[in-house]
This record gives sequence, C-alpha cells and structure tokens, in this order.
Amino acid sequence: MQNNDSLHSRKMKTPFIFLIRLFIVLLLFFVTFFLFQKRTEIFFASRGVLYLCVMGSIIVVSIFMGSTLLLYVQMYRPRKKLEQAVNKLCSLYPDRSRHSIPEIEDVADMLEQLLYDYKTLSDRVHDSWIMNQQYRFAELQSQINPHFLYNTLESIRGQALCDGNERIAEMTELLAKYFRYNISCDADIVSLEDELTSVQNYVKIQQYRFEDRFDFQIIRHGDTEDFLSCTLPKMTLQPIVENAIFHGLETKAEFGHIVIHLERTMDHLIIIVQDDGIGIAQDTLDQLNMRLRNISAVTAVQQDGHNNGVAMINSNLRIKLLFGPEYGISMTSTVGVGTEVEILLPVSGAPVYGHLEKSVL
Amino acid sequence: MKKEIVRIEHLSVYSNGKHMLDDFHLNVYAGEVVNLIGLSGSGMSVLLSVLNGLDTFASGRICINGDVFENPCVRYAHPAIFGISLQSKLVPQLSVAENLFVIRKRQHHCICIPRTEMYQQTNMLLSQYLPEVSASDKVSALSFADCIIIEVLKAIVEGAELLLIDDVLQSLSLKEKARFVLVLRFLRREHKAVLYTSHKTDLLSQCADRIVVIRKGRHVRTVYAADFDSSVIEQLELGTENHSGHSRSVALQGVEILRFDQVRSPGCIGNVSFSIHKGEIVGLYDIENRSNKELTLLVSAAIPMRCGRIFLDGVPFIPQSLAGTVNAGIGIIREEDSDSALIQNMNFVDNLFLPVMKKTAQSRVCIDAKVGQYIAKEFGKKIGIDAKDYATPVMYLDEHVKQRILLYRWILCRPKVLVCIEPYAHADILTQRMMYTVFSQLAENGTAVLISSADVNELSAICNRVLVFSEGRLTGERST
Repeated sequence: MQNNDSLHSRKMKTPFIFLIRLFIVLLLFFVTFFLFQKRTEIFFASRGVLYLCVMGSIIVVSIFMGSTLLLYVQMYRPRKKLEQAVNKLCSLYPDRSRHSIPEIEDVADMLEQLLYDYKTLSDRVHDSWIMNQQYRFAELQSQINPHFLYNTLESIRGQALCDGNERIAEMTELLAKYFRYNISCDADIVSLEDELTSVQNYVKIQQYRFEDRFDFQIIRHGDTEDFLSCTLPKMTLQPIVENAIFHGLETKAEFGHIVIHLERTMDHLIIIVQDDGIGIAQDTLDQLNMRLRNISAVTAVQQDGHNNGVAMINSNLRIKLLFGPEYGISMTSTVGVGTEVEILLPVSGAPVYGHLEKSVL
Repeated sequence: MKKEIVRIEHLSVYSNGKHMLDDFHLNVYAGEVVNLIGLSGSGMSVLLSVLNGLDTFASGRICINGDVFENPCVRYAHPAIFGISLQSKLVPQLSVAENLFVIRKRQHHCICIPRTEMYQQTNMLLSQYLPEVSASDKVSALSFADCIIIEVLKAIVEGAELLLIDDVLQSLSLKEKARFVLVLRFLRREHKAVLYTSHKTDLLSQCADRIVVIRKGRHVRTVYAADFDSSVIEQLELGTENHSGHSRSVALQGVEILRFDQVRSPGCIGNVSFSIHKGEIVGLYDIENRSNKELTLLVSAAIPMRCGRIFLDGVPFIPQSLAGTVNAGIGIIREEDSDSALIQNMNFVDNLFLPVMKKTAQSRVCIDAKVGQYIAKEFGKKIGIDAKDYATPVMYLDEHVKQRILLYRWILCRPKVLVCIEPYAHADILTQRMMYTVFSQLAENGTAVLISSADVNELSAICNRVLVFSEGRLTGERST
C-alpha cells in the first residue's frame, strides 16, 4: 500500500517539477544571452531590440510561472487532497493490502476499486444483518418464557432426584443447560469451549434417546490448549452433529461413531466433524456442496423447498458473511463409510466488517 | 501451534474438458507426514504437478508458506517445495556430495564450493539418514531406495519445507520401506512436511500422521493415524463402485511346465531348484526383493543366465532374447512395459487383435472383422474404456488402462507360462483385482503363472504357493 502511495505521489509531482526545471533553464539561457550581448555589443543593432528581448523574456518567464501556479492550484492541490481522502478510505479496510490489486494505475482506479469493495462489504453487512434478524426471529419464536422453562426443568430434576431416578435428573439438567446456551446467551460469536460444551450436552441428550447406539469424541490435535479460546458463530457445530445423528447414524444398524477433530494453526481454526454413518448419495452431496458454495443469495435458503441441511447452509452463510468468502463449510461423503464436514474459521474470530459496521451503516 | 505449509482451497483443474481436480481441498502442516491415497487417474499426479509449478489450475487458491496464489493459468514454482518422482533429479556419474551441493536449483553466491566442507556436510547428513553410504560414492552404484533418500537429502540441503513424493515408494521392498520409515521420522523431527502419494495402504501409510483419500479429483476423507483401517480406506478409494472380492483358483495337479535346476547368479541367487506345474500360480518373495526379481528377469532374458538350467515343458530352454522367450510360449508382464509393449498409434481393439490375428484369419489369409467386434464388446467394459474411446489410439489413454490392455492381451495369447515382474508395484486396487481375475482365468486354462513381488500379502492373496528366498537361497515354501 505504501509503495502504491509513493508511486502516485511521484506521478503527481512529475509535471510540477518539470515546469520548474524548464523555468530555471530558460532563465539561465536569457541571463547568459544578456551577458554575452553586453560583452560583444555586435549582435543587436540598437538598444531597443535589446529591451524588447528582455521584456519578451520576462513575459515568457511570467507566463511559465503563471501557468505553473495555475497548474499547482487547479490540478496538483485538488489531486493531492483526493489522494489523501482515498488513502484515508483505504486505511478503513484492514485487508486492503491483501485483496487489492497490487498495481493501481491512478487514483480513479483506486476509487473504482474502493467503491467496489464498499459495495461488496455493504452487501455482506446487509446480508449478515438479514441473517441475524432471521436467526433472532427464530430464537424469539422459541423464547416463550425461558425462566418458566428453566424453573420447570429444575422442578422435574428435583423430583427425579427425590425419586432416585438419576437418568431423568441428568437428562433434565442437560436439557436446561442446552436451552440456557441457546436461548439466554445473546452473543452471536461464542468461544469454541462454550460451543463444544453445548454440543456435548446435546449429544448426551441424543445418546439417551438412541440408547447409547453411538459414541462421541472430541480430539484436539496439537499440544496447545489456546484454541479453546478461539471464537466462532453460535450454533455452528450443533446442526452438523445433528445431521450426523439423524441422517447418518439413525438408520445404521451397527454401533456408530461421531468424532470432532480440532486443528489450530497460526491463522486458521479447522474443525472436522466425521461420522461413520450411512453416507450421502453423490447427487445429493453435489447439490449440498453447490448450495454451500453459493453465497450470493441469502433468501435462497428460505425460498428453497428442501429442508436437507438448511441449518448447516445457514451456518455456512453466517461464517462467510462474518469472516469472508474464503472461510466456511465443505462436505464430503462416501455411501457406506460416512460423512466428513470441515469448517474453516479465522483464528481471530473477529468479523471482518466489525470496525466498519457502525460507520458504514 | 501448527504451521501450515500448504493450504489448498477449492482447487479445480480441467484437462480435455474433464475434471482432473474438482473443488479439492487439503492442508499440510510443518513436521507432518501426509499420505494421499487414490486410484489411478484420481488426480494425485495432477495435484502434485500443480504444486510443483508444472501445471496450471482453473480455479481455487493455493497458499504455500504464507504466499497466496490465486491467479489461474499461471504456473507457481515455490522454493519451499521439492518434488521427488520416478524421474530422478540425480546425476548418476557424480558422487553423492556433488549431487547434493554442486547440482543445485538455487546456487550459492560464492563461485567455489570448498570440497572438504562439502564432503563433511554430506557425511554428516548421511550419518543420520543413510549411514551405509559415503559422500564420495557414485550415485550410479546406489540402489533405487538409496537414490530416493539422497533426493530427500537434496531437498533438505535446498531448504525445502515440503517434500512431494509421487508414487515412488510403492515398489520398495519391506526392508527398504522400514528404512524409509526412519527417514520420515527424521524429517518429522526436522519440521519438514511430507506429502506422498500411493495407490494403496502399506507400511508407510501406517506411519503417516494423516491419510487423505482422493476419488475422482475430490477430497473424500481425512483418516487420522489413530483411525487407520486399510479396509475402510479401500472402500473410500472405490466409493460406491461395487467390486466383489477375489476367490483364489484351485491349482491343477498338472504336468510340470517350468523347472529351474541349480540356477545360480553371482551375489543374488545360489543354486536354486524348483518347478511349476500347469495351472499353478506361484509367488516368489524375498525380503530384500532381489533373488525373486533376479529369477524372473532371468526367464525374461533381461539378464543373462550364467549357471544352471531351465526346462520349459521338459525341454531345456535358454532365455536369450525377449522375442525368443515370447515365441517359446512365455508371457512377460513388467510394470514399465505398457509403453513399449503396445503399439501406441493403434487403438485398443487392434492391440488386442494382433496376437490372435493369425489364429482367427479365415483360411490363414483373410482377417475376420467380426473378431475385432467381439474383442471390443468382450473386453472394452472389462478394461474400463468408454465406448467413445474405442477408436482412440492407445497413446492417449491413461497409464492404468494401458496396463489393463496388456494384461488382457496375454489372456488372448494363452502362453504356457506367464512371468510377472512386480506387477502390483504401481497398480491401484482396481487394477490389482483385475490382475487377480486375469491370473486366475489363465491358470484355469492351464497357464502357469510366476509372480515376483516385494509384498508377501499381495502374493498370498492369489498364489497357490509362495517360495521364500533369503540371501539368495530358497529357504521355504508357503502353501496358501
């Protein structure tokens, strides 16, 4: 970016410096010419011609100086101001240096690029806002009266403990924890640790339902624990695990496995959810992947009559809108072997438009 | 915290309107060994040539050591990547030290290379990775496995972060593979990443941190070391394609067809005698993969026979040339034969028709066109050629398809003995199963099959007997 700035500044200064140099050359020429004439006194026939030459040179020099001043005031100064404004705009885009075209020819190109970025960003912010509203609406629909729900669940748990039924007590406790995370937690972006705890609660409830027909494992690859502090959009993992249970393992006769692999690099958090369920047929998988790749239409998810993987597609859209198109969910599957879902997230977990959201909208 | 050396996102590569890689994704971390497994034609070589900067891609993004490449139609050769393939980069006439330090992609700024320092550094590297080799040894004197390790050392000297090894480790013997496992461990310790391709699981797959399965150019699944299961990986490679397992044929207790009598070869074989019967499938196994290979090479006239005798159908037989061997009724299958043994500008039907042309000619003069039609109908599907490619010259077909054509040609020839020299070395599961079927079919028709392989499990799956060699001597026989 700095290189680009200096390049543009140099380009702007070039005509101005050229004019000054021309002026100095002309001035030197006339001074030399005048001195030469004074020594020889042959060249000019009369003093009138000499004065005419001097006057003429003064006029030419004045014209040059005037035009230079005019160029400076009319062109250079406004252009400099425009460049400063563009630079200021550029500084609002932290990833500009990564995503911008390395050689922007002039300010007009830069402005065009910035306008394009601005449009893309505002579209994303708008889409994200719509998604958020839909998500909140769905939440509100289920948020009848959380305190009443929690109190009731607590009462059931108490009664179950009194009756010595520990299974019901534990199920009720897990259900309360699950709802508390889903309904009461307002944050859009949560820590990986919280998300994993919620998924574990959800899986335990499902294991009760499926009478321990499958097991669940979380494997952290790498010797550091700091990836637990990584952040991600709330409810990203649960729809994927839910799909693994209901579409992968429910109809499987044998014992099943669900494994979440966690990898953390310097830039990325990679979450791989694997199951050994019945798998997905190639045609269905192609359709799902096509929908996962398509981030242009937010409303497409609702307009589409299918329900298969809608929650996962929503999660994918939220990730792409929050962090950028390079992040998101991809899915692979083999019939009879199982399904693998990979979620790619940035380590920082901060939305790319976070710093612009207030100023732009 | 892990360092990502390579990250491939949504990579697509097309060739002749066909998807070679389709929305493929993969990442490799520093100090990690990743085994990329897939069938022939699944896109592994294409991926490696894109990473090596030899090929372009249509869409997607590649991040190598923090540098992002997203402009398609541009070849990116990154200095952090070093490729090792069947085409060796070593100069056989030069010593190991000269190959490592003189012939370099990125030369030093200095004009002279201090000889003593060069040899000291080479010996230091060799003491870790290859103690039995000296810096002054000529590369031409080294074995294939040693050459691969020297190439690994070259990658270290060049400062590569990621080693791409394309399909060269499968032909190593068990002993060589075990030695290469140690090399991989050293590389892991040095925080070098390794991505190597193979068609099936083996000893080396078991020491990989991750196995990534690729099918029809797509990432299918990541299998972590803890979840390693060769049958699952096999299923992932094949996808939904239905392939029944192989059932071994029962050996015919027929007449003796081939007999080795007191066969000797300096350094490799010492007084070996055994015989093979009609309809029998016999495997030759040596942990060093030397004696078994030498014996089959002797029969195929690839190396001259010095001592001992070979009897074919009770008659003494001296293998002098390949043509003479084939004319005597011995068929030869060698992995590297697919280019030379087929007529490249003919289509597959003509290539299969050639050996039976004389037999099927009407009145021994006129060629019967119906035979060609029958061949196309009978073998086209079995070989896996699309109907639109029936007229395509063989040179434009995939390597594994050529191998299959060659295999089926021997069915039509019906030789007395079929000698196979490491037929499974670079074959994928499908081709391997096809080989099992072809060998069984030949054996049922009375042909004796002699197979030499570096993998005893592959021999046990098909052979009626496996002859085990050790230090040049026949030490045992295993009936399966």
